[in-house]
Amino acid sequence: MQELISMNNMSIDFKIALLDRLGFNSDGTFVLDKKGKKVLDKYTDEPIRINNMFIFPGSTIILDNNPLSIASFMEEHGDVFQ
Amino acid sequence: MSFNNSVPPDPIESITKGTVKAVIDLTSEKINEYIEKFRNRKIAFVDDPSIIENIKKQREKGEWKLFTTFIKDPKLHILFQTGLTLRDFEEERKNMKPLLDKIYKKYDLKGIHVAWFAQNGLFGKYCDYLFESGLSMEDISKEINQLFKDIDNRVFFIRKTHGNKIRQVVGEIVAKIHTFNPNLFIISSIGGASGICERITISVHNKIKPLYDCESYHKKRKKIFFLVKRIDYEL
Repeated sequence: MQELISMNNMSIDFKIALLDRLGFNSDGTFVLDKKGKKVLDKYTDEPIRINNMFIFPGSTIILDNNPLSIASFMEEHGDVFQ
Repeated sequence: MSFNNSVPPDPIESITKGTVKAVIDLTSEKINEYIEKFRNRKIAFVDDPSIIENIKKQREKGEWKLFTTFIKDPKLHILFQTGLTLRDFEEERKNMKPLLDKIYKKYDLKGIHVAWFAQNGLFGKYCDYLFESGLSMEDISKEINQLFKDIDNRVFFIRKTHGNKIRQVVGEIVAKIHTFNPNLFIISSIGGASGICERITISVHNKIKPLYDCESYHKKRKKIFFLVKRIDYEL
């Protein structure tokens, strides 16, 4: 079970630094991979905005934080949150 | 007499630099702490935790548990859960369009229909109808699975825009009923189109009256009509 850390009050710079440590990047709006390509949400195939992310450990899944993606994630992984 | 020519540090600049360094150290320290916990799979990050909380809440509902008893398709699970979230959005008067757009893009109109089925509370009413019909659990399960497989031909959602083309919509619904001959056809309003839904259903029912009975349900601002095929006992 994972504890959820809210990123609501984290600054963009803090989020970019966090993404960098996780092997990603950002142009300040979208989440990018190390080659500068936009990372797509695996369930909706849409780019992920840095102000609306969900980041899950393991193989580091980054999703757009919307009900369809979250429902898809929970269908695949179950309720893994505390 | 000697003089110290070194410039004394500007106390304000010094304090500012110290503060910046402290913030950077704190930030770096915090990131290290987060990264360690993340790598040990103890934490996940999210911008708006209320979305996860909402989905968790939907998964606790009896309606959801009943749905998963009969339906095993993961895609239908996702759409049903999303439909329950849409119901909350509707009650809270939140903008539903971005979510509907995502559903449509991924699952097409059929996906929207499954989500609306959940949003409108049709599943509970449908189960009531099946339970009252005295079918076995096995047959109920078959019926439910068949309905979701064939939802576009067995359920019609009336929107406000249908008010401009009532005759066309009536014709479309009657054609579906004659073509697929279902034991039950459901007509439901969506997005405050209950008046239009009632007018359309009355017209549809007038055209199929000898074959189908009409049962109506009112739920908040919504109207739901079940057109139930008559059983012919004539020998």
